[in-house]
Amino acid sequence: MTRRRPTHPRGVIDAGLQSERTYLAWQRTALAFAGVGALLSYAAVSHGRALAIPGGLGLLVGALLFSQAQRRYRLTVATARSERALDRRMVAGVAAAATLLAVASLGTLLATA
Amino acid sequence: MTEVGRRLLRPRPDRPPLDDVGDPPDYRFSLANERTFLAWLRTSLALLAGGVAVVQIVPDFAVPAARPVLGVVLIVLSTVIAATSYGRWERRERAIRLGGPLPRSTLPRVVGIGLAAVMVLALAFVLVEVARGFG
Repeated sequence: MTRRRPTHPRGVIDAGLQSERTYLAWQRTALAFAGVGALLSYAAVSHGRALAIPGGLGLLVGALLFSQAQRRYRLTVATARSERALDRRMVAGVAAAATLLAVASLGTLLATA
Repeated sequence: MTEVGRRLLRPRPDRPPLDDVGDPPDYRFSLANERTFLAWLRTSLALLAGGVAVVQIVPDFAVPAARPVLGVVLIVLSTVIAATSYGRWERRERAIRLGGPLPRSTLPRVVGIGLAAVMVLALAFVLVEVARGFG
């Protein structure tokens, strides 16, 4: 009895689940932003209100990324076969947000310490 | 527009827009590049969280400057990673589109050395703490 060699279906869009893994990476990044935001907000309660500024920024960016990741996932699957370049505003935006968060945290920490 | 803004928006003949360079890559390579970028960002955020925690939440060391020093080094490392992350992603995307080798990055070395410095400092502070405890 011969077993048929398993083959990928022709219509497979997301080989290796690349889009889904990328979506999950965006989600983890959103959670990391929210985590840092929560930590700063927690510190703001006892160590100076100014820390709530970067804290709120982290929570906001986290929530925003969490919702945008969904949209980007659908977009990625849709453009995967069209050879169109992916939108890179989100990449630039999240890099800017992380830089701003780090600088704002350092500034407020030095101001309140 | 400010001078800095003008300089940032000036067209760079040596760096044509990303979409005009080379061929559209296999989307899987682009996505792998994107995930690497996100992993660096999470590293940056983790260092930031560590810096905030060591300044605001960790109890005092015997050495008074210990917590601010550790915190500042951690957050500076975090800032360096975050501020250079887009450029790294962009250079790699360019290399993928051109089919060339991936550009080198000094960041792993910088982060490795920086973290080693943080750990040596932390060890020194803990040792001082322990020595005072027995004294």
